[in-house]
Amino acid sequence: MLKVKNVTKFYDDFKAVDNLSFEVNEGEIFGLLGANGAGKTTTFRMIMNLLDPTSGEITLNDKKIDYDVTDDIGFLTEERSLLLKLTVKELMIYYGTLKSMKKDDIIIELRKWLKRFKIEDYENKKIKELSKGNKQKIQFISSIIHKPKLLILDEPFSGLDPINVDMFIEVINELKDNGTIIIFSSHQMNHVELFCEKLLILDHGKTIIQGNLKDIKASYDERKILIKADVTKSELSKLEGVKSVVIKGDEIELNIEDKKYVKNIFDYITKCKNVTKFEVVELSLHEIFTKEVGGNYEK
Amino acid sequence: MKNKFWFLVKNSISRKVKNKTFVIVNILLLVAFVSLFNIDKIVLFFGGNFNKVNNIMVVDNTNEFYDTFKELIDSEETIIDTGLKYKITKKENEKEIKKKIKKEEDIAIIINEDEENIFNVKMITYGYINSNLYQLINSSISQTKQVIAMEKLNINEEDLAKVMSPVNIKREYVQENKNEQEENMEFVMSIVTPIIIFPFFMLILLVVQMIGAEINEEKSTRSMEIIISNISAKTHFFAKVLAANLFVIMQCLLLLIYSSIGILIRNISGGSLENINNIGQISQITSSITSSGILNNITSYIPLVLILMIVTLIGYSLLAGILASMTTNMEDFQQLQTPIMVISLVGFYLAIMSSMFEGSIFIRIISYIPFISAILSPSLLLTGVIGIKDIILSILLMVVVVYLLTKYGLRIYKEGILNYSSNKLWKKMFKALKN
Repeated sequence: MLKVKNVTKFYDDFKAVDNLSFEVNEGEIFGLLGANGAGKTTTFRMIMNLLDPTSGEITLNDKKIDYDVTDDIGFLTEERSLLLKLTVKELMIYYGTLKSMKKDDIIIELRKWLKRFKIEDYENKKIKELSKGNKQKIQFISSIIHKPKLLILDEPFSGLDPINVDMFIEVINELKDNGTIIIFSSHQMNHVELFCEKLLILDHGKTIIQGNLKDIKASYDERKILIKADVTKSELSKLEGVKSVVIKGDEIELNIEDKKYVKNIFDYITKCKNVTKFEVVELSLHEIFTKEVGGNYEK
Repeated sequence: MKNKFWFLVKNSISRKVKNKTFVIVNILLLVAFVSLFNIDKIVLFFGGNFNKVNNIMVVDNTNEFYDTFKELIDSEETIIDTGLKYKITKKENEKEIKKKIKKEEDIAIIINEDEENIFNVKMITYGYINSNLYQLINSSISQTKQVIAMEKLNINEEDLAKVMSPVNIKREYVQENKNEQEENMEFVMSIVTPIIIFPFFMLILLVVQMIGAEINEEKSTRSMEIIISNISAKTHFFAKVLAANLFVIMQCLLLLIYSSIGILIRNISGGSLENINNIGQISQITSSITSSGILNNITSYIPLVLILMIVTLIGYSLLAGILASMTTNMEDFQQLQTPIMVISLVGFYLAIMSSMFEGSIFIRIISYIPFISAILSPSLLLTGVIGIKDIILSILLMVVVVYLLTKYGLRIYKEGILNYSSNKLWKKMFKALKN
């Protein structure tokens, strides 16, 4: 288990992380979210033992994270950390050895993963000659080649096409099933919703939302209703509790202040002709994030 | 962690050695060193007019000059040692002699005597002549004039020989460690100095560039985060410094091997150098180096000079590592390393010019300054300006600097290595020093 307990980090007088606490169990994917400058990178760096917290404690399986523990951690950085002049094999031997792996084991694992990602021909190709997507695959392989107990994924899908995103998701889910502790960070909230059971949103170093994704969503009373029926925008705008009406193709999207208005709206729609859809949806993570962080963004 | 340290050292050297640039540069160095030690043979191989004989034609209108001149020019040549070939003939007709000057080797000397019995000499040549040849003729004419003058004063042949014989100077030194051989070697030393100093200067550049390039490559690609999350900044720092120094020592050994190959080829190919007048001096230098006289002299100082050079290289590499950690790309590092280059350049030029300012207290004091001492001291040591005690002092001073760089530099390195912003850089570094 990864435990981050009351961690605070100051840079001179600037408080980058303020009393942060969370826990991630084996086989869990934890979303650490926040706008740029929220304190995510500082948190990752503290977990990776690159920075010392000003106060608080970080442990992995009850051991303080130091150079005896970092061999069990995999880190995929947001900005690509690849030595461009090396070949794929040279880079993996370099990074793998730094994770205390033996050369032969590195090569066996590398070939396995290259095959899995359908780039087995690139073993002896220089990193600088690879496409953005393939560089990202190599970066990903370098973070999991040593079978880490804790995996930190900072924007893992950057530069990937949808097919490769699915490939990554499949592997991440496999790692999760095998008991890897995964911390995931992305600005793409749909990706976070896809597999994060638990999450935390940071804003200017402070935790503003934390908990299970389902509970967080449920805690918001606002709802969206998707309707397909013979009804006009002006009619719907007059209904009680409706904040806005947006026409999206052949669908109408209603934003309502509170879920308590759903019944009245449903009663009104049932009276309309050609009703083929009436769906009540919770706020998306994207909307929650924008709602909570958006107002503070310029501060 | 220990294994990771050695892996980093090995990986760093191996990446450098496998680099195409390293291979190409070393092939060029091998060719250059072999060529340098065999330059005379290469010149001979390509051919040229090395056997030209200077045709000195003398019109002696005094009827008393020619025989003495012909006799004295040979003895003068043994003193001046121009290595030039010449043939002297007597001509009668002054008017026709000009017509016989058809090429550069033809030289006419016309001797006249005025009313006061003073010799007047006119020399006619095709164009400019070799300065050594001019000096030989000039000196021989002056000697001839003196001999004739003394003969006219009725000094007998035996007394004349005594007057003309060179004075034998016996040298004595108050300082016991001085000797005539070393004094006479000064010329050779002034040439050997750049041979020692210049490669060392190049090795300094190499070590600074290697550390700067490697650290900046890892920083600019953000690989540093991955690396430092697995090994401490301290381990990384010392691994880079050790790798760069080992690489430089390896390069140094390669240069020695290239020199040995050059000397070996020279010895195997054999051949005489006497017939090459124009490059006789180069042959003399290369022979002097290889003939071990100078090598014997240097040998006694080698261990101390080597220690000073190694400690200095470590100092330069520590400094380069610290500066590289503060920069975020190679361009920034190039700017920040300029002071290092200036320091080493000052040492390099002072080493070259030291023989011009013999006895200068200023240069002697400069020779103790860390970073400069290893560049300047060897030449001062070889020319006897400083002694073993001075070298030991320079070593101690450099060791102190290395200690300080290790202690305080590491703090800057730890702070700088993961810093990607040049904003308030110096403030951050000074703060790191205080921690």
